[in-house]
Amino acid sequence: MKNYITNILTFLMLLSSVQVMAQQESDKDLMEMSIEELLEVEVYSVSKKKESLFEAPLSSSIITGKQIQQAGVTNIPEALRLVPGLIVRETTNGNYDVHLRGFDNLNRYSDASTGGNQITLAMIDGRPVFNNNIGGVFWESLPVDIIDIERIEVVRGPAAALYGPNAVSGVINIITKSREEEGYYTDAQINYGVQEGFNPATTTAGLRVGYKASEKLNLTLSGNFQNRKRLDDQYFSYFDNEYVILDSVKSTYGLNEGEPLSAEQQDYAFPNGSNESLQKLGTNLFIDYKANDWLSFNGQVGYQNASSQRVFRQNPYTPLSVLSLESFYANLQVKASDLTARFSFTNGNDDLNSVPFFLPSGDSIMIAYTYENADINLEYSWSPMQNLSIVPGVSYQRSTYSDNNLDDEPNQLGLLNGRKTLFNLSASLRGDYQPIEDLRIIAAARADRFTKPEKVYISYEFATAYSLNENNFLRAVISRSNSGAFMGQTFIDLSQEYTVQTPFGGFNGIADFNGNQNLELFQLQLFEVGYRSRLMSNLEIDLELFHQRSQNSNEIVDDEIPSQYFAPISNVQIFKNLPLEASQFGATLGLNYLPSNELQIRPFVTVQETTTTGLPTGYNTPERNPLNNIFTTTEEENIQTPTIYGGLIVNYQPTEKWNINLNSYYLDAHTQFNEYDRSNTDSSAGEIETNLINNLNIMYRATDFLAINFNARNLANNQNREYYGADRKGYVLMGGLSLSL
Amino acid sequence: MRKYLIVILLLAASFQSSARVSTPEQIKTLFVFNFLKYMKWENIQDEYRIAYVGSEDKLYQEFKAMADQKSIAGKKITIELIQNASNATGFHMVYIPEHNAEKLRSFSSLNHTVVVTEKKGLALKGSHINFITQSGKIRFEVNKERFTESNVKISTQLLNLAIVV
Repeated sequence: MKNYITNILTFLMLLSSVQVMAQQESDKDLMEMSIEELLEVEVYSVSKKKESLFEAPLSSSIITGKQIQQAGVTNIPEALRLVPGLIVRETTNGNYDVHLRGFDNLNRYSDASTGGNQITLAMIDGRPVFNNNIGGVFWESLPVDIIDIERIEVVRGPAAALYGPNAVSGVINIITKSREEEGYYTDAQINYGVQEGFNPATTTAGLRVGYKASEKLNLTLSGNFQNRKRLDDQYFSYFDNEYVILDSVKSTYGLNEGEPLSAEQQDYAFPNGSNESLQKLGTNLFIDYKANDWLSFNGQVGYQNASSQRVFRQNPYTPLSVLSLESFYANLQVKASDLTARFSFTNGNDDLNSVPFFLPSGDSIMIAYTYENADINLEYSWSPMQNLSIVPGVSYQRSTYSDNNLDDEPNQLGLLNGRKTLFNLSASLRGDYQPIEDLRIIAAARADRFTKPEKVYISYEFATAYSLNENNFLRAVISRSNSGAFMGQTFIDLSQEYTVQTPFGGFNGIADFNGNQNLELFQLQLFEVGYRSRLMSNLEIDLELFHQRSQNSNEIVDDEIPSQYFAPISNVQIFKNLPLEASQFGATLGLNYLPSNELQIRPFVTVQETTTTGLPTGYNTPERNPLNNIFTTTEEENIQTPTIYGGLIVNYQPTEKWNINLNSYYLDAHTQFNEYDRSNTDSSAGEIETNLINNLNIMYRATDFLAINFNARNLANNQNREYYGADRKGYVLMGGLSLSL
Repeated sequence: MRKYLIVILLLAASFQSSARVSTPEQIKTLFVFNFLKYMKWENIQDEYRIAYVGSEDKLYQEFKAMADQKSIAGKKITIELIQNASNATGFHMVYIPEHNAEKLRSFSSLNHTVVVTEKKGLALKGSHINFITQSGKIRFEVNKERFTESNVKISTQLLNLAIVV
């Protein structure tokens, strides 16, 4: 730690001595500039963001495509490390777990999939990219990549009233680039990186070609590609409670307990070899057409195909497994005067667990399915007065998942057992009122009618912002949001009987997994106050204090085994709501300091504490275990989320041609849990040590259209794991080229 | 972590005493200085008089700094604070900052006075020149008709650099 501080200090001081000299020079020049020259000066205006709903009253941050490129980030979830309030943990090279302000692993002994983030809504240009089966975002399945990004907007805190269900802990909205100048254009980026021993680690490439025919019509075709290798060669073996090579990973379950994966099973489970961490391909076509001042169309269609090896679904061997994800999408937004309509459609197939979960019958349980999601949104913006806008809206979301595709596969059982549909219909109303110049009030409410559970949920948001004077600004938010219903939790339906032969005769067993169509939806409530101040013309401070409470957690728990089955070889489980409630207090402080035109320094940190009440002592129904079940509970401090996390970005642009960026990300030590730990209390896989990751990116703009960069990721080679059962980190040294014509 | 942040804060503080930054305010006042050179008033005597609608805020301070350092062909530039249109006669230019944008309407009938604003859309609502920011750079819109109405001449050279509305 001390060494890092010294490194950073030396770097900053070096910068400062250069920049003071440069600045004295440029101050003088500025006073003598002509209008033509002034038109070329870039100005910093930390306080004046684009006026939108996104702005001021809510806790929000924006990171631009340019900032992402300067930081040398080559992957969308990694870019979120540049934003305050986000916990971003890498599990294998290029694969990340992203949480907004925590509430992760609340149930402790959850399966690795339900332990992921199910409560943050990600969108691309307003289109939700959300997995409705288990909930959450599969970052590797985004069809767009770094090259397409204009900016990423992050809203912290429940915002379903504004953005729809699943915006429970917040929203991450990825906005793609738009084009101002007419004519043909091309953007291309390629990066190649090596790890220790000069072995290949990361290759990424992106290309955008387009033609803006006129003010009215713009067409862009984009493609992106990533290929990443693991930086580690070991797997955590649940059976031995240690990290071993793949050949030594053993099963903890059923009749093959203690047995390693056979060569055949290894080939099946890790089809691309144990070395691959991410292969990702995406392509998109963007068409923007503005018929006239009151009618415009923005359309996108695209395809993505990805395969990742990362910490995911529970299997009896190891936390890592391979996910294969493929999808097509189409999205159309129509603006007709004050009416905005959005239609989107996604069709895809996922295979989520390559590592088989064998039942005693020899059959294996699969989570592999096809799906279709359709969304329709209508909003009308009405301004009865200059200082008041009222936006009523309706929306319809429909999601169909099917594992009928497994019907023809011998010995494979789908968890959904057929084709299942969920939909919800909602009505929303939001108002934005500025009664006096210094005061702004946003009030929004949304009612969602779900099919399962058959119930109406109300989300709301009240946000107010008050300017004390032009340099000081106060705001407050009260909001409540709920998640949507997910396929898995609602519809899992697998039941199989079998007989196990023993020297004492045959015993009947059952595997019976059940969803719950009456699960109450997870809910988060927020109270927040924020203060922004321009302490000096070039120093802005942003402080937010928040309190959040959660309820309606759920988990799959052990249920009573009917007496006709022999308990030791049977498994009966059902999803149930838990009495668990979490309460969180926290603060985020961010600074934006611009000592000169050439230098920007942006540190941010979040400190938070979460307490959990109603944490079950046993994940059983009372029928299964009257003494130790989901209603016998304790109160615990939540140690699953880091108490302190944050980052520092220092960007230095001494001349037009050079840009030097140092960015660091910090995660405090914490302890994660997994279902496996219930039977292995000595497990240490979840003990996450302090992580400090430093990255350095040096860019040189050789000509107007060509830039080259040298990029050292994790340059201090911190090897700590960041997530339960995840890979050891390593450094990656990258070189890149970017072209803009 | 705490130590790490304190170090950075201290460091940040030590930087700022020695350096300045080109803020939008600074650039806008330099634009205004340049504008004066490209406009012609019948009533110019020995100084250019600019009125600033508001208080002694940061933008005003920048105007003051500019006025102290600059002159045009031997003529001084002065900057004065005013609150409303009734005090605005005799000024060559009136600058209405964004937070006072709603006062624009009351300034629309002045003769021989150029009104400069800095809020989107105001060039079409009565100001002569309006600053906007595009892609991090400052641009200015010019309403030619308003110049004709108030009997101030504007050079075509300046119009070529402006967004004419």
